[in-house]
Amino acid sequence: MVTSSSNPPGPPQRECFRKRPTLALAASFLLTLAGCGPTSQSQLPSMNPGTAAQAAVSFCDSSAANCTSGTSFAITSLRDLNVVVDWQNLQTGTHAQKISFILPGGELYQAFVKSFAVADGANGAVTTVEALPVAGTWITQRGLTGMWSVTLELDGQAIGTRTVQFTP
Amino acid sequence: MVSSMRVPGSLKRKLRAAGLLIAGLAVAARSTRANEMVVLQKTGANPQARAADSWIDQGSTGTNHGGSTTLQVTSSNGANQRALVEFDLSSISNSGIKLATLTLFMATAPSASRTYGAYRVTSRWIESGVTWASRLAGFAWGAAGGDVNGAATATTATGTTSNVSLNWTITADVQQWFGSASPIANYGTLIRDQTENSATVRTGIFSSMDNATQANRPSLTVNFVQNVQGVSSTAGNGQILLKWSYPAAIGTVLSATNGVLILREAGGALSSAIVPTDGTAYTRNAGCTNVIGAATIVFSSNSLPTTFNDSAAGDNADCPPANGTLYAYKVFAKDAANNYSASGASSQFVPLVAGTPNTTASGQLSVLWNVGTGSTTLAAPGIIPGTVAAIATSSNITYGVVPNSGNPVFTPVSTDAAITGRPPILPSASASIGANVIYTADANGFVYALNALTGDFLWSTNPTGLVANTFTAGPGVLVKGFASAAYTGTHDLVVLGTRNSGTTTGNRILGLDGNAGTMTWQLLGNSGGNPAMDIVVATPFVDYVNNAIWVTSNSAGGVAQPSLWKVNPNTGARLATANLGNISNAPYVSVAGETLFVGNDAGTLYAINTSNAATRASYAAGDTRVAGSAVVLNYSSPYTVVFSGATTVKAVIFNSTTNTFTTSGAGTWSIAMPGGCAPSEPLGYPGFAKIYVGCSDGTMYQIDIASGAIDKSKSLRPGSTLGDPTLDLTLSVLIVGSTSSRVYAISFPF
Repeated sequence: MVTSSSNPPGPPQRECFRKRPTLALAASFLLTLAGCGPTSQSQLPSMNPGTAAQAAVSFCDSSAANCTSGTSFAITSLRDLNVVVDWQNLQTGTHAQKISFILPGGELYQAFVKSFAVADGANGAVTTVEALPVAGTWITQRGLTGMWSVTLELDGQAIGTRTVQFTP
Repeated sequence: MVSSMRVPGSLKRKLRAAGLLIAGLAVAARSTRANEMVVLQKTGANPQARAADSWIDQGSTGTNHGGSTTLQVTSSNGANQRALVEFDLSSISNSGIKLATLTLFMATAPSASRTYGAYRVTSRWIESGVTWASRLAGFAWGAAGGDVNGAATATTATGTTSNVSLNWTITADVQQWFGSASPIANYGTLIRDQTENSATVRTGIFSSMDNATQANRPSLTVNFVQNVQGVSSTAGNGQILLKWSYPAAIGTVLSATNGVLILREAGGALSSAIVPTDGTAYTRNAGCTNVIGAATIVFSSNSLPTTFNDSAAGDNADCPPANGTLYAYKVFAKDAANNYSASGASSQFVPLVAGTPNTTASGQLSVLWNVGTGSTTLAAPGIIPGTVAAIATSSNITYGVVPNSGNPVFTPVSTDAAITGRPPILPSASASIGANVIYTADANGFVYALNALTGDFLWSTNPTGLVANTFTAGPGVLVKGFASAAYTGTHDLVVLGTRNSGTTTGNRILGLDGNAGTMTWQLLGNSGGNPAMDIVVATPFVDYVNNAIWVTSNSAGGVAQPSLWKVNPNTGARLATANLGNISNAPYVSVAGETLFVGNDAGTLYAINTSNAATRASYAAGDTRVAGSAVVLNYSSPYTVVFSGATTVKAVIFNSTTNTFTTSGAGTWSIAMPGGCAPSEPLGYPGFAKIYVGCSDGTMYQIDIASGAIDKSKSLRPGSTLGDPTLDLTLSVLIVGSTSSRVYAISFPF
């Protein structure tokens, strides 16, 4: 059994707290697709124009040296597809990132949810890496090639979509 | 975000004493629209087997409070505390959620009113292991203090009065657990102060599920509309007949089910985003121009019919179905206030059936049922014939359904990560664990034994302690009761291989005790004299004849290291290996036991001597790859072996006396799949005259073994890729998943 002495006696003390903004709703997101061929950007509505969260997304072969980014990968030689998201200007606190991999026909293959924390002093910068298994999976077994879409969400808010090519 | 309300604890206790649950009354008072209501609360009568709660402490990041009788929420600079609570939703499966209210009894209020937020948790945690730092022992949160969706689902002010109940409306979260278009695993709710790091310590203390006063334990009040059940479709000439039944009430009835609404869409899709609006009455009109999205309203009733004959001569003179067209139907139950059995904006779990009318029986299609899985599902479901089909998904959710109706056997189970392999199931009569059991393994390296009738965890473990040691394939299970005396293990043995993509040499094969999940042995690549082992991505094969386990692996893209492993099930010792190039398919040993068949990723089929893993013969099939396990259709040599490639299905004959493949002439064939579609692993058994293949054109094909001709086909979902099928021979049902986030069942043979 655990109890808490939450209210120590004595005079009232001054409240000191860190302000916690309402995350996605209080931010605007700028998706920058860096290192992945032509750069595209999508600006989402902002409730706080002074805060512009940015996401730079790149793809790479997990087994390649330096994880060199690309936009097209042969599934016969691709072990995992790494999706690297460089977040900037995020609000301090815990965030949930969702990356969805959409088949060329528009059907959902798989989605990954990852939570991460943005610490004070990090300037809102966090890099996440999500790996889509490819070698030996249904992608290679059933030849699920073509132009896939990868959608990015943060805290339930759509950030943007990027495409990646899987070739036989 | 939804603000919620407080209920005085004194009133709550008085009403409880009168046999009434305050949470339920509160909800009923403000919502008479839902059909039924239940209050989920851990009691002697409702043990809430899958429920859990705890609190976590930033000031003591490694301390677990799972056994505490309280839940604490604190704002204190660098020493915040948060509460976690998760409910067992088993009793309300197969429902459209209308309202969900989380209630915590606050025994001690903070000294100043605070605002507490309820957040949807996004990672699995375990009551006995969760701490501020870790979600379960040895596995850190992604973000210390709990992985949550970024924004609170609901907030409520605490006030400063003790012994009151606080409520949070978390309807949106429960709806996502219960059938959003992309279902989310139920990992519960985290409660935290919205303004943490207070200089003055502010703590609210709540009763936990372990509190001696049952009435004060956390509760979740859910209002819902149950779906109809047992929906089936039978196609005929110019008609599709739908049948269904109504489930018994499982909660307090607020507004009885009084009818149904049926939507129809040509093409078989009927997106889960197409839902009726609560409070709105719908009817079919002349010409059937009344629609919801792309779906036509073909039937509505304010009585309780159990059939709908969609035909001109039946119940739909306005817009009967056309022969040769595939239609999908959804049957929504509704209450008197026209609340429908959808969950918010999604009808993912609303029964959906499909059918194609035609003038001939061969042109007709009757889909018995399909269920939404929230992601691509291509692994064959596991099955106990006549009892349950287990569908594991990449949505971190495992479903159990009745094979011939699709009705839930248990409420979906939330696992740690995606499951992409077939989950084997054993009936209690065979399983050493003494229960109907599903063994399954996920992409975070966890292995589970689930009760196949309740979905309860019998055990779960991460045998290597690493999330990098993922499992892509389902386990193989050596059943003690089927094994010879050569197997000396006490219980069934669960065998898996890791897919650690970070190494081409250090993967491993694991043998777990089927009763406890403890590791019996492991064979580690590049260690203890073993050669290097690349990723294992196929289910191990249990060879009862030779008392061996056969495991395939990749081989770093070449033939310099093994890709076929023969393992002693008693010790895990390596008995033999073969270097056959990358293999992503499970092997198959002939009934007689002398020959193993396996295809590699380069399209070569091998016949292997099971005594020493030496190659008896090989056949380069010339079709890019071998897709899935081969099917062997005879009990003894010569064997007819059927296997799939990238776009073909082939039958060859292997003679184990002469060690030769016959690839042309009588008894052999090769068929190109229509339109160059990519076939699944073939499904067939010795003695069958047909085999079944799902293809990437959304069609199930029946192939005559003697001639190699496709003699029947059923288009289930044009444009989608179908997975590996499975058969329930007791109920004559074929079940197959797809990339359309749905699993389909049709009658077999068709």
